[in-house]
Amino acid sequence: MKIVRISVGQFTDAQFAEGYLHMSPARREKCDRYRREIDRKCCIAADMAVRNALSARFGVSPAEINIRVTPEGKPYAPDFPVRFSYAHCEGEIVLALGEREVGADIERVRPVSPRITRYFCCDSDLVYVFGAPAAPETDPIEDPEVLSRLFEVWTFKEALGKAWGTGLTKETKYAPFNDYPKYLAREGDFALCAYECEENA
Amino acid sequence: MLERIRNIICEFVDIDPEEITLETNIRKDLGLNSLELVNLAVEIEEEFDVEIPDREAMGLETVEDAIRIIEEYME
Repeated sequence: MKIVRISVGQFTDAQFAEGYLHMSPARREKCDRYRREIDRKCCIAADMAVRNALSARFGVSPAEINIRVTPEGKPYAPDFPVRFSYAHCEGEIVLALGEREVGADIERVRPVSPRITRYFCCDSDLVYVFGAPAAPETDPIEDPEVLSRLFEVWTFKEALGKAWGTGLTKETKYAPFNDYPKYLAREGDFALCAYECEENA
Repeated sequence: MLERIRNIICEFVDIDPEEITLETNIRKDLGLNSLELVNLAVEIEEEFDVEIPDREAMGLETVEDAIRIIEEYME
């Protein structure tokens, strides 16, 4: 699995303009719906990152790469034997490429309510994050070490859901964080995770 | 109820509340990511004193969906 990290600050307005033109109509439509300019730029930058990675690996022009989206919203390049997933958060983008289904997520670590753990943490995940099989009453969570672990689990569950093509579900909630090999990283305020399935569905 | 939901949504995105309609897609139109969506579900539960099933919360698309879910689980 290959991980690519980029930031919107790496690109010029001219590059964004060109990258936008290379996007498929469906991708441009999604891009145009973003309210915030930084999200729009992230969308274009992620698309450019995929094209550049495939171009470098397979020797084709970025503009010639056909990127489609499944009905569930998962992007793919039907003409190339590679799977990919990307995520963006506040100008930061992570792209994962692999031979099997992959998922990637990036999120800015920040205080959150412990109540959100209900949506993505099983008991063993809670033990990993909080040291007990239940979230604390303290709201919001502000302990830096607890937040760091919580966002490890969150980005993993997001990446897992993307790799499986399901998004966050009961199945991803009950997939124990510690049972799966994955790539985890912390870069300043950002936590990121990438996961590659052990075999294709 | 729409007014209360608008106020909650405005905690997550810088938008004029009047721009939020029943048809507003919370993900696609407002740009909320999954973590923000989960936080929104938690805030809605707190505001309306309801418990939204995980499946419903993650499937939240429009403001109209949110109202339907709240009304369903308030009963």
